[in-house]
Amino acid sequence: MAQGVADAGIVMLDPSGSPEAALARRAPRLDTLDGKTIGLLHNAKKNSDKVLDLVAAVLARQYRFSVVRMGKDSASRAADPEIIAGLKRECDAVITGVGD
Amino acid sequence: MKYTFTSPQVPVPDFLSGIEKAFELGWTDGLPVIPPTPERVEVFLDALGMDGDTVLGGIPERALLFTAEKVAIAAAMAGCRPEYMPVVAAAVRACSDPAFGLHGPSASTAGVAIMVIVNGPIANELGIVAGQNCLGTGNRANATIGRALRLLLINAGGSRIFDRSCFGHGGKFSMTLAEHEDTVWEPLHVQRGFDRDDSCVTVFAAEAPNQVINHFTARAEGLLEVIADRMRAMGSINMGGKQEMAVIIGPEHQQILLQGGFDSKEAVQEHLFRRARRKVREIYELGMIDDPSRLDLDGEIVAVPSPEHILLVNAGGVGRFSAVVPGWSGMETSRSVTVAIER
Repeated sequence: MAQGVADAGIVMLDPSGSPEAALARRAPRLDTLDGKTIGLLHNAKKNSDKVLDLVAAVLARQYRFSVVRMGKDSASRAADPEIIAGLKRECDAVITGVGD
Repeated sequence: MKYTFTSPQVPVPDFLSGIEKAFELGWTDGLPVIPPTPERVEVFLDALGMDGDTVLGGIPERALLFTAEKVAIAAAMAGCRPEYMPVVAAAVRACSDPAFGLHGPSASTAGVAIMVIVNGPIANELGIVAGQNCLGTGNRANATIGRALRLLLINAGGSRIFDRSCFGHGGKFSMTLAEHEDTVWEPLHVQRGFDRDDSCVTVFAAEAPNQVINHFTARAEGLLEVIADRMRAMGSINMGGKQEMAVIIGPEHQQILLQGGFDSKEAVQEHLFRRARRKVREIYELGMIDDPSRLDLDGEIVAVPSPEHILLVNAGGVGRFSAVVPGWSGMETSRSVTVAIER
């Protein structure tokens, strides 16, 4: 390879990233769970509701909070907008995840 | 440069170190990629005739969008020829249809690939193969069109975080084929309401193909019984009773079916639908049903909910084989989607 070409180098365009994701922000973290309302959003997989109940039970040893339970229709789909709106209205924080 | 690219630029000393850098940055499927220089990507965007910020699809659950720029980068990296771009773009649009539900099949532990079936005149024009080794190696269009889609998912689609495949399979590198359309059977896209002269892409969330061997029968019903037996395999995801399934009939098997009077795909689909089922009790006795109270144990579970949920494809080379390709999850979460290729 000619010296000049090697020195000049090349650039590559980064294939990753998305303009929409770049705008996403994390919600502010809570400083305590005491006195808060915690949403449990199960993902519709078998026993995912039970897993979240166990998580809440572990947290309840340390904090006193109330619980709102909701569930998605399908593990592979985003929660319906009404569910998101309900959680936003009623809860200070939400615990969700995959149970199977 | 004609375009102003928005993607960050990664400088490297030369082409070869670009290949290594792509591995280091996690951009690849495990094989080397062609470094996506702005000059190269511009050629691919030109072939698409779109601005880089045109949105072709995305995964809303992940807040990710697929812009034409990212699709062009993926296709350049995959080793596509620029003229494949309309097919790649159509596959991206089809996958992004809410009915396909891309988040699920690209995250699931079931590790499915995306089978891309290309119909219409564009298949011949671009050399997308329906024959020998169509789901294997050795053909650039088949290998790189599916690869472009996979590299898009790995990078712009968040697979590095979300893909939880237990095994995955070779089709995740690429799983693209065309169909033999010069027979009395209607091509898949015509069955789905398009004209023969339309060029279309169908995407289907697909397990690895299960090859069905039957070298000796000359009896159509016997052959279909062998295929149906594979369709109703006990451990198949399709025994959930709610999934589509692709069945690829090899040309030599098709001859037996034609001689046996199965002169339309619909006749084959109907026959397979009736035979590819099992007694609920058989499955229950093996502990594969968690809540029998909701089911009639004397009833049947079907491999597909109806005949049209079999994607019947006429492909393959010489040899008395067909292939059964199980689907993924249920149709409320992912259905195959066919779109016309815009060009």
